[in-house]
Amino acid sequence: MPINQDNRQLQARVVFLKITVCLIFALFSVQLWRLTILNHDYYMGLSEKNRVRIVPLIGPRGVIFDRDGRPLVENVKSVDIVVYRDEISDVSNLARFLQSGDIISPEQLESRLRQLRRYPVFHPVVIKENVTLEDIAYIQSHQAEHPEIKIFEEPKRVYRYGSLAAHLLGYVGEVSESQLKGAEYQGSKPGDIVGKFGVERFYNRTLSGTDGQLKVLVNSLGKVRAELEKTPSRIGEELNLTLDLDLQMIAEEQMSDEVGALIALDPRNGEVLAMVSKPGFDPNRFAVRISAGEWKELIENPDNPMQNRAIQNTFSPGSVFKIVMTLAGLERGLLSPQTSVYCPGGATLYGHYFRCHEGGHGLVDLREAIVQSCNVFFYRLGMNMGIDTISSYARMSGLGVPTEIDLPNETTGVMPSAEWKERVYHEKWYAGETISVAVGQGAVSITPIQMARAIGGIALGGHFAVPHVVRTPHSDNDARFKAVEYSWNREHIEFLKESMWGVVNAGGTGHAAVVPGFDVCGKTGTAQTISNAAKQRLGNARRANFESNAWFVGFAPRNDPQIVVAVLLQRGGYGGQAAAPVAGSIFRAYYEKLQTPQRNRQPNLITAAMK
Amino acid sequence: MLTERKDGEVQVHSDVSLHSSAFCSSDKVLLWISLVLSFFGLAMVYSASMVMARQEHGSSFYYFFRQAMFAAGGIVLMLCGMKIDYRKLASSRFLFLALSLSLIALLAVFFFPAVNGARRWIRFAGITLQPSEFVKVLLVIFVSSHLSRRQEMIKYWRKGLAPCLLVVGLFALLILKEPDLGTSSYVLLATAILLFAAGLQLRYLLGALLVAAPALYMLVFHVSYRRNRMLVFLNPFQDPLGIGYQIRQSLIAVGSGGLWGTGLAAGKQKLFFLPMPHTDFIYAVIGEELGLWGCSLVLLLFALFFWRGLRIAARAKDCFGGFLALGLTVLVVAQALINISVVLSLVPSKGLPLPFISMGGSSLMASFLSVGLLLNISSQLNDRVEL
Repeated sequence: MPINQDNRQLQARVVFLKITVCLIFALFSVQLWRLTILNHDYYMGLSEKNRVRIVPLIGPRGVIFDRDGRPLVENVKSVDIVVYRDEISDVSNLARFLQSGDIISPEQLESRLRQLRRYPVFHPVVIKENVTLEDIAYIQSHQAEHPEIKIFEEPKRVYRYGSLAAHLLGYVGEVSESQLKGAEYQGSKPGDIVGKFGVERFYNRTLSGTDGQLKVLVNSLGKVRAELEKTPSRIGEELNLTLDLDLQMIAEEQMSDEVGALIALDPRNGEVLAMVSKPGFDPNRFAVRISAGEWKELIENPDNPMQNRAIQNTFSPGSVFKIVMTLAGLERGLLSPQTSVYCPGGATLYGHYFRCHEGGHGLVDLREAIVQSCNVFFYRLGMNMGIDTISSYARMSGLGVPTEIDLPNETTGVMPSAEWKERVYHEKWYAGETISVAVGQGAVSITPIQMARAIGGIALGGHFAVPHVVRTPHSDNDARFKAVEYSWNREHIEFLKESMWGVVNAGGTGHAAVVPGFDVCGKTGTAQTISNAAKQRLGNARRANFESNAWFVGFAPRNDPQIVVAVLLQRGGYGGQAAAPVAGSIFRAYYEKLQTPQRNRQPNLITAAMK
Repeated sequence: MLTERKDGEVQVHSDVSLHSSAFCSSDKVLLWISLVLSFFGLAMVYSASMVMARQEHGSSFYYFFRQAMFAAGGIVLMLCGMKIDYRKLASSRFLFLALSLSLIALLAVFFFPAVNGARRWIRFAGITLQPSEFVKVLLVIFVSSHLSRRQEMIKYWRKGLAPCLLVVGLFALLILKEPDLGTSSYVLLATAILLFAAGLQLRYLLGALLVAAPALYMLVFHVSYRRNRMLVFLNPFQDPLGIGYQIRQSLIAVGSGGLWGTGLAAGKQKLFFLPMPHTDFIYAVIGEELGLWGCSLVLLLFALFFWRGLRIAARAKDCFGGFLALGLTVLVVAQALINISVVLSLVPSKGLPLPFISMGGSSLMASFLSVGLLLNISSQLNDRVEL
């Protein structure tokens, strides 16, 4: 029974429905006409006032702590002035405005805008950081004319102790265009603050925070009228360093007037306890986006304050190398503790005269040769051993081999061998060259950290841990830091340790490093930077520039090596006089800290407040 | 084969040749209206969502591709709706089975995680379905079947109206619980219109309205976000950045479009000003980008849909077909009218999608299913009967 056949009431109701729908359509038409035609201009005006602004919320970088949980690097809020480029109506007008308010010069503005031209146009560009109250007042009183300028807060890196451990911690800065192209900074965008040196760079990904953003609706005067959407930022992961702040402070103090490097590490696991390179710099000055002339000043300094001498520069090890020589001699059976040599104060070998201590050491046995650092003994040993044996043991000890420390820009250095000379110079190795190498001169060129690792490893009987500066929860069995092991004759090692103990404690060259109660063992070195003949030809004034480098490398205590310290002072003179006291104060500080109970970890106030 | 044994009022047709030629004789105009609406909808979904999709999903085609996939699914459903004889849907067995399944589906949504505080969706294999969209169609089938069997009884409360309202009311309550007041009241409204057309005495409808009014008042004014919407409707420009924001942006979009609009994809209101530009407020995007002519075109298409739907209802071969065609037409058209009213700020803000056009897979597929059934009925019309 179709519904329409006999029921008039139904028909009436369907008609009613139709009329209702027709009326609704008519109502729609009227409303549409009112909106789109009658009041079009009004709504057009409202539409033009609709503007969305994206306010980036910068994710702070992770905090860096020392080994006892004391914060070394944190974040504070910095107040910046930013420009929204999509809202600039007249650049020259803007430049004039910023110049007259003494904010930045037109040239700076131009270079800044050019520098970040690849940055998405709706993201603001920072044009001045850490602004003054006057700057803020100036901007705010002219906000109506320049809605494109805004005050903006972002986290800024603070290195709590200024230049302390600057080379190890590194510094941050705005990522450069060339860095953006490389793989290292993948995922960064123009304008990002990234780690550029030291731990900040090596662990950049870990430390980097995640940026968020706030979308706000602004009116035509740039005033925020509503928050549309907020993606919060996240702080980066924190890092716990192996560095000991107490030790580092003493090391910095000891090295403050020097040019050189100092490293203290735990030979058992490779943890770096202190690392100093002098002269240094204050990383706080780089933690800004726009650094003025200071950068130029630093890189033009002839002493290269931006170089981490502990891992980036190579030096002749001088007499410290005699430890490696002794090890090789004993292990190869070319030497015994009873071996004696007569030292007349020099020796003529292969037609050359090689000098030793003025007046000579007389008849010296092996132990005495180490304690008094007799060159003649080792000239003869080197002659017997040949370059390839020397080279092989030096390389086993990690000399001329990268340590794989978790810091950027490590230098390999050179441990010469016949094969090396053939490869690099296409020349034969001359036996005469071996004589220089035997006392750590000539072509041997190593970094201070290699030296520290070598002596620490030998003291442990052939356990060469990979030095590292970051403590991870499982760094003890982290594959990156796995130690290289050799099983060397225990008696030989004991003899070496005893001789090095004698250097410090039994009237040897390193007695200035002595610490009562803590059996310090070590070896001094005085490495020439120029041959004696050349030195004679220089005038007195310029001679100072070619003073010898002073070395001291040692470990303690003798029976359970826990700390190895390497000190290198450029132009420092004699290792025993210049470098040994510095090392001694580090050993003393370490020993004193061992006697006192550990401190509690301090909460980190500044960053806690920022979260 | 096509028999309904229990009820003599449903006529028995076993004309196989008529059945197989269902496609040829079905209402081509209605088919074309639906296809044009959905293709137009796809273009608008892309335009309205491209910026948002790129921000949130990395590809500006994200929502477009999803919607296109659902449109394909919807067309398949439509073909199914055309193929099965609609009279089978009136059988108690089918209704019992389908209503039970729907009940399970509506209960199942409570076990899925909430989106924006509501549990309306079922998720599996990366597809999200909103059961209430399909329940709407099913309830129309149910009410039509009920009416066709007991048309006379509708005048009597106990035997006619009560069982019908009981079932519809149960489903409406479940949907209300999700919570989805829009769909829930819409189910009741569609039922009321169908009952009204079927000849339900006006006193019942007025009575129901009197009962419903306090309940609706409670539901609206005692849930803060709904009360806010109501207050905003009463005065949209009073607090333009607070609760009135959405409706204000909608009016700005339509108003700034003018006669010709900014052109497809050139509108800027969807750029984070207008909330939900690709779902509930897509008509505002049409207004901004295509202007008055685009808005009028959509209105015209829905008016045509209404005309063709009523035409099918009037000519249906049997009572069930007539009620079903009427119900399905009302279901699609009334929802469109409500959606457009919200965008034009003629009624308070209510979250109902614009059929065929808004982003939303379930809504699109349910709309296509309705069209499939309408085409099915239209292929078996009585000859030359005028309303």
